[in-house]
Amino acid sequence: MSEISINHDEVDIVIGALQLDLTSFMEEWRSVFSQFHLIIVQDPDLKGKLEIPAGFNFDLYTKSDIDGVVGLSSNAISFSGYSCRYFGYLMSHKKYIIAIDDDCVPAKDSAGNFVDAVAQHITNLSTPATPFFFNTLYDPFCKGADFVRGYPFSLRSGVDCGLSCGLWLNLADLDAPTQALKPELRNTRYVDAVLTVPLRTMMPTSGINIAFNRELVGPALLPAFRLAKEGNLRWETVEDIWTGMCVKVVCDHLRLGVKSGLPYVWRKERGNAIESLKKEWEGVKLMEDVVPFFQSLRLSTSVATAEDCVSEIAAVVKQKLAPANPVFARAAENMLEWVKLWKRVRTQ
Amino acid sequence: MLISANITSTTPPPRFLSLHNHLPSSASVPRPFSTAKTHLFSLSITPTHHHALFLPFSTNSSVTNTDIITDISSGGGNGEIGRGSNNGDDGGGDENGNNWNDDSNKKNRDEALMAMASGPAHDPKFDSNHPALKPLQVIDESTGQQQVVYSVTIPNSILIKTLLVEIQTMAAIEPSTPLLKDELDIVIPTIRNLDFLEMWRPFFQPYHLIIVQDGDPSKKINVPEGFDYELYNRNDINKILGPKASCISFKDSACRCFGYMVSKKKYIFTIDDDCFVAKDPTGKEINALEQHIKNLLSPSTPFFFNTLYDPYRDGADFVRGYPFSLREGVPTAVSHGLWLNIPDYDAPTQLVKPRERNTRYVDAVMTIPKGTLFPMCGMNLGFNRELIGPAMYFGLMGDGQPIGRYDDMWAGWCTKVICDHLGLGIKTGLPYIWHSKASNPFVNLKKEYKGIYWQEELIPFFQSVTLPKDSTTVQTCYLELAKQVKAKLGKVDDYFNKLADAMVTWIEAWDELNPST
Repeated sequence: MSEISINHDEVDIVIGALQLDLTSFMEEWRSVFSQFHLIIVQDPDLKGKLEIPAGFNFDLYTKSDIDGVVGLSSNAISFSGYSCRYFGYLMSHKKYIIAIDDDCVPAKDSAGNFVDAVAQHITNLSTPATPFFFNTLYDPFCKGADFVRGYPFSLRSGVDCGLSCGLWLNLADLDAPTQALKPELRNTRYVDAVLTVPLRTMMPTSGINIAFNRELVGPALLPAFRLAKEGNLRWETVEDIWTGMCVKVVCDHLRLGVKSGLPYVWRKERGNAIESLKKEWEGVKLMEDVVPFFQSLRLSTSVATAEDCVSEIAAVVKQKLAPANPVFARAAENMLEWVKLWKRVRTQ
Repeated sequence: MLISANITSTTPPPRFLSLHNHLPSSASVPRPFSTAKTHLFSLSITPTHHHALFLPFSTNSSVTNTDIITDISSGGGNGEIGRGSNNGDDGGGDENGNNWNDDSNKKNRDEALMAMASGPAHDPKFDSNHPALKPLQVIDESTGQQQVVYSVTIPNSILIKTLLVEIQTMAAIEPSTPLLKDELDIVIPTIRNLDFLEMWRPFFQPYHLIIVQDGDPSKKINVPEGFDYELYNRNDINKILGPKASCISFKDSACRCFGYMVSKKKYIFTIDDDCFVAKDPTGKEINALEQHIKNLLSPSTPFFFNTLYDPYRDGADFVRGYPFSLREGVPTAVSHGLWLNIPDYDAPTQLVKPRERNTRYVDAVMTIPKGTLFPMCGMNLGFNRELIGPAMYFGLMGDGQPIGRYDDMWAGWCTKVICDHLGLGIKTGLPYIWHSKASNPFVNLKKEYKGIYWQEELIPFFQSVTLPKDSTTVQTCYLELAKQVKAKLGKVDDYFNKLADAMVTWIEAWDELNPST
């Protein structure tokens, strides 16, 4: 990959803590995380004190901080479970945010080298994306690659990248039915590519290993889509999938890029797919409505900021999806609340 | 009739096979499994593994029953099981005369559901004699294996994709890729010689070759011993097509599309004569043809991007959030392979980076999403001729033409637009071949020069093209495209008027050589 010099002052690493003992997680990432400022947010439902090893530069936010900022009204957005990281996004002032689930450790590439996921995400975010035409050699800006014959020259400068979605070795981000069906399936394939997800192509963006340009798309990464029986396993949520589609619509509208591929992280075994399936499978069903909705969503041309994009999406959700299921109505309300909160925190 | 298998503790853990990979089109399985219309689903059971209830969704718009099972884990819940049918009526009894909507049967139903959702087969909750469960004997045609599955009737509001599990010992799980040796032709354009075939012999020898000899027809092209082939030079092309031969390029590898036209096979693989066998990162030689066949025989997924790339590949699957209704995919029309060593750059890039080599082996196949254009390269390409053949016209290039090296790209843009319209898929990625010859960048620049400017008009044209709903065949789509090329690109350069005419001639020639029976 090309050498990018990283300005460490531009980066925040946000960690949503869903377990109390972060020691092994942070030790595994020490060589990478110790170079950056961290924002650690404790899941407000997680009782107790977090164990964080020494030698890191971090700010810690807990339930009381969240309540202090967000307020305790019944309208307030819930930051529990995986959504706690969004509070970290809210508190950050940096240009780039990288978020990795606390059950993921660094991966090794096919040559056995340690993968610095943070560096790769920053590389993805700071090099152009190419959403308007597919390059068959994948990322043309990486070392050893370029645009292929037939790629229009006028499209070769690319656009800014708003979101970088990484992948996972070992326990891939499969849904509960799939993992239950194939209990031994592990992702062992290291695909050495980053590619731009084309314009108006929707994809399921997993929140397990992502990074984004907060200045460009910050408000679009939002805690909105909660399932009734949502829990502390990714199998029991689809909030990140919803958020990711919002971000993709926003990026498509604002002519920004979304990349997918490297870096990989190694996702540890956790949970039981069948138990999750028994508990929560409504998410699987709801995707049937969510995906066509986002695929056909077009924002009005006058909308020019991420905040306004989000507000408009929320309005259309309210109009088109909310009648079918209260989850959608709630999601739309949360989105509007979030934009208000985002703006309020920015002006303080 | 239940075929019981001897299950012992030494039985290796069975693998789950998903239906779309292994169910043959002419299934000898009971009808309920064979289409997504059915309300039946089959339950996977093994002696050592949990089995689970899977709830994919119907793409079939004739399904109207909207009841759903909302709670499979608790004994209560307000879901209903009815005897679903294709026209959506519910109520009435199932094959066993049970009316599952009846409250008195709710307990039975919930127990059945519970049994399905948890526990190994020897769990006391699971009762293979339960009236809700019907054992079915099923034969997987591709392996001849007999399998036992249990089926339960549930409403067709949530349609189930059935999943089969072997409970017998099985030697190799991965079915080997069929050779398709009587269904595939290899088309090779050449102006020099075919020495490169020697390296490909182990992989190509079973297949019939169609050699299209470009340039001087009096030159004798040597085909290595042992290959079954037909060879066409310019004289042959003129003789076979008569005046229509004008649509076939001369002094350009675009002439290869003549080979597609005369082929009688279902699949085409085309490769350049400077492309050799590549090695994967483990050092193993890559059978590019086998990978193309794998790509073409498995579905594509153009409607939603799978972040783990081709979900039908061994070791991969659809990720969380991927709608189940889209997991059947669509037929794959084109398999676009890549190249190690000399990359397929245009002339300006070649001039700036003469030493750059592609050394990155990206172990992925992916579907190019609907609505996205790409630059297709004809060096290492497979396609289903029956699905998309007439769209693979490589245009007017070479001798007497103002442009060259845009043949495959032109075909690719037309093909992509038509595939998007007809709901077909195009894959790109593996396999890699080793591209050995770098063509002269100055010669290339002269050929491409006009294209570099024209492209700026071509791309918006293809991006905004729409085909009428009643264009349902490749030929009608292509003729419609030709009309629009003339109307919208004719003003860019008169070349496009000629090209549009040639596109029509191509279809006429195609239909003449390939009359529909």
